[in-house]
Amino acid sequence: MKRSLALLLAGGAAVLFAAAGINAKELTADEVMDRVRDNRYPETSEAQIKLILRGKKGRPLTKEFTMYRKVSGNDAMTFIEFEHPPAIRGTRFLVIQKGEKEDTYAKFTENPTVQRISESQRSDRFMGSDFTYGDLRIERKGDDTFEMLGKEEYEGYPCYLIKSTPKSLKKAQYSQLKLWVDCNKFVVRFTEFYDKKKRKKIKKLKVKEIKLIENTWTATLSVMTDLRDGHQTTMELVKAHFGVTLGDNLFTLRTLIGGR
Amino acid sequence: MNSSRIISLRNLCIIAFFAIFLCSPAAAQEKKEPSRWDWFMKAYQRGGGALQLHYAYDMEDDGPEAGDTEGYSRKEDLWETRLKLYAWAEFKPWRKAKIHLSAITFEYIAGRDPDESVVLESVYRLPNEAYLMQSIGRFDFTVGYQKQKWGVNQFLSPTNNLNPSELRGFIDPDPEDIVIPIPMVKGVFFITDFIFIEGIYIPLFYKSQFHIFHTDFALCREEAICQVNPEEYVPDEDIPESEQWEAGARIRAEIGDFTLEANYLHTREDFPVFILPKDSEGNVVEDPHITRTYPTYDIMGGGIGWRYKKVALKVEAAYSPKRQYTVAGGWHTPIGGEDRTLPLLLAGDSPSYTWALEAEYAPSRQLYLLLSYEEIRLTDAPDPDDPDEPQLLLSSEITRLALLLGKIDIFRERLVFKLGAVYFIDDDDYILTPRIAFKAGDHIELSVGANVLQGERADTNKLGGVAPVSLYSDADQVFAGFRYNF
Repeated sequence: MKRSLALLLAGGAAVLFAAAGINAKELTADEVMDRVRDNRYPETSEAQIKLILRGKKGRPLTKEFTMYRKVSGNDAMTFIEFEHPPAIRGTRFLVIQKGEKEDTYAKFTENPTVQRISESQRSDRFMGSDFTYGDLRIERKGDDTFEMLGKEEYEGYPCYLIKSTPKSLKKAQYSQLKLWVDCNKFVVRFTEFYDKKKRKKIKKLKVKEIKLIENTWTATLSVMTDLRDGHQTTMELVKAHFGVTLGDNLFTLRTLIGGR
Repeated sequence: MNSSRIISLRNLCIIAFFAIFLCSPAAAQEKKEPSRWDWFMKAYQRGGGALQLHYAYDMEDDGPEAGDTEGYSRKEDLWETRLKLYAWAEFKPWRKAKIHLSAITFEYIAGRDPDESVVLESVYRLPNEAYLMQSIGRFDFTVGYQKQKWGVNQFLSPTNNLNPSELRGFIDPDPEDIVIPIPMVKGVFFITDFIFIEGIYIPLFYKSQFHIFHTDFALCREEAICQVNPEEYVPDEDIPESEQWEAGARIRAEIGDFTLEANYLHTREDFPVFILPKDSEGNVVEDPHITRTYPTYDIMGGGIGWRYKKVALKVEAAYSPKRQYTVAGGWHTPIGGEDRTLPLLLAGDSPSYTWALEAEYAPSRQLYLLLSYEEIRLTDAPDPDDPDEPQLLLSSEITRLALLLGKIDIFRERLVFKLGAVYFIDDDDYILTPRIAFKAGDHIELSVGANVLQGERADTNKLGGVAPVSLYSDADQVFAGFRYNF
């Protein structure tokens, strides 16, 4: 089961259907996650993101990038370009998900050639952060099984507590997730990640700020903590636009090599 | 080859670089009206650079003293300081166009011996890349100084023959120093997103360049000596610069887990060779002199790479009906100094082939291992021990080297450990280049490292068995560096 960055960006955007009289209490886990997913992945998006990496010691490191995404059903194309720090300015990633196929390419500044991120590397840390390369992809509908564990308040907000398990553990990054989904905004407020092998809790993601951006409830500030070493990555959504026009030529190896 | 024209072109790029950066804003202020500065600010996309201070100690050994063989030898027991300013910028002047400018705007090198007397001092300004790229439909057209990598292999690539190597970069690799950009016209046609055809034309071809007295190299403790028949050469024949060129084409495809490439390169160049003709008994028959060799040759090659999970295998090969190989050599033109030619060359006029195998193991982004092996062979080469056979080559073969490159990122990529280990199989020589780099912040990087060179200097990179030219010797170096990226 892989969580995408969009989970944190679009963050389970608001479902305005509630205002139309839908009784949220009667929703099943699949219905809740469908709504989270439907609002999490707008057809097109452009987001400027800042990552702040904090270890137990030393100065925090900052990384900034812009992410462009185009989604159509279970297919998606994601292009990422780093702007900061200077040493990695121009590092680019391209993720293409089409049907069952999924390819991740990288162009690092120190290397003139394009590198392919193998499937086994997708659980590696993304540029030293607590997110992973697998988080760059969108979550495919039907990859996971959701189970409603009940309703529970999280920091005063009524939430659905949902357990998510991958249908194929072999392809998954984690053995399971526990998600606290805001009952009103359909944003995932808190997530626990469980290790694939030992099935222990290894990471947690806490959404600290949610804003309404272009009619979409979006997590704009979240903190991922690796429980194994205490390292934290704060993800700040600096700017976001949904429904922007993105040409298909952006999501090509040509652009990955030559830049936008 | 007279490199003055090239140098003037290169300086022109630097001047243009500074003109855009410095002159335009000043002009805009004076005019107080919309000007190129507005255009510049609108077109400017991004930029950056680095200021680097490198301090090294060249350890004393039992080799020759500094200064012998006219500066070709490595200096020992020497403190060396290098200060470098590198800058780059990208512009989007109009739709689907990009201008990239980068330059080592300033590089100062100085060496001091134990008596604190300055024995080396030089200042360089070197353009890096300066090109304009225009996209039209599926076609990309690029013109200017460029770096261009061919082949599928990462490190030892027999078909990656376009850019001269920045030979200092071999053991002192700053990202901007690895290869030297050259003037090039390039067209790329994308058949699909993952298959393209590329054609290149290099009007002013020139070989590798490096700082002749850079102390990272133990160069030529003895003169390059080869057993030759001088009549077979055309001494002092200068090929006009305008007649030296390279042109080539390649097709490359990324298909699933495979990368495929086929390429062809035609070169006409004026390549100098420093020779000391000897007769069959080893007696010097002429004074050492520079001559020319094999100005025209073709190289055809290709490679295939395959990645499966954590492992990647790549094979690359090249064949040339007549070819010369450069081990290390070319022009050195310090600003304000005189031109020199470095004599390290492996050459031949017989068919030759090169192949290289690389294996990568990357269990994670934190660990990267690369093992590489390369063979260079000239077929039908004359027997270097046969005095009756014209010796038109300096060496017929190099079982080039095996390479192990390790990179370990720990503490979330704050601390990076790299180890380069190059082993010359034929000569039983090796070079170790351990490096530790620490990111002290978003901008600051500290590094320490060493270059450990071991080998029989009379045999390393031997030329024809009778030409002892040593690239590596017992000349070790330790260094510390500070780099501020902006």
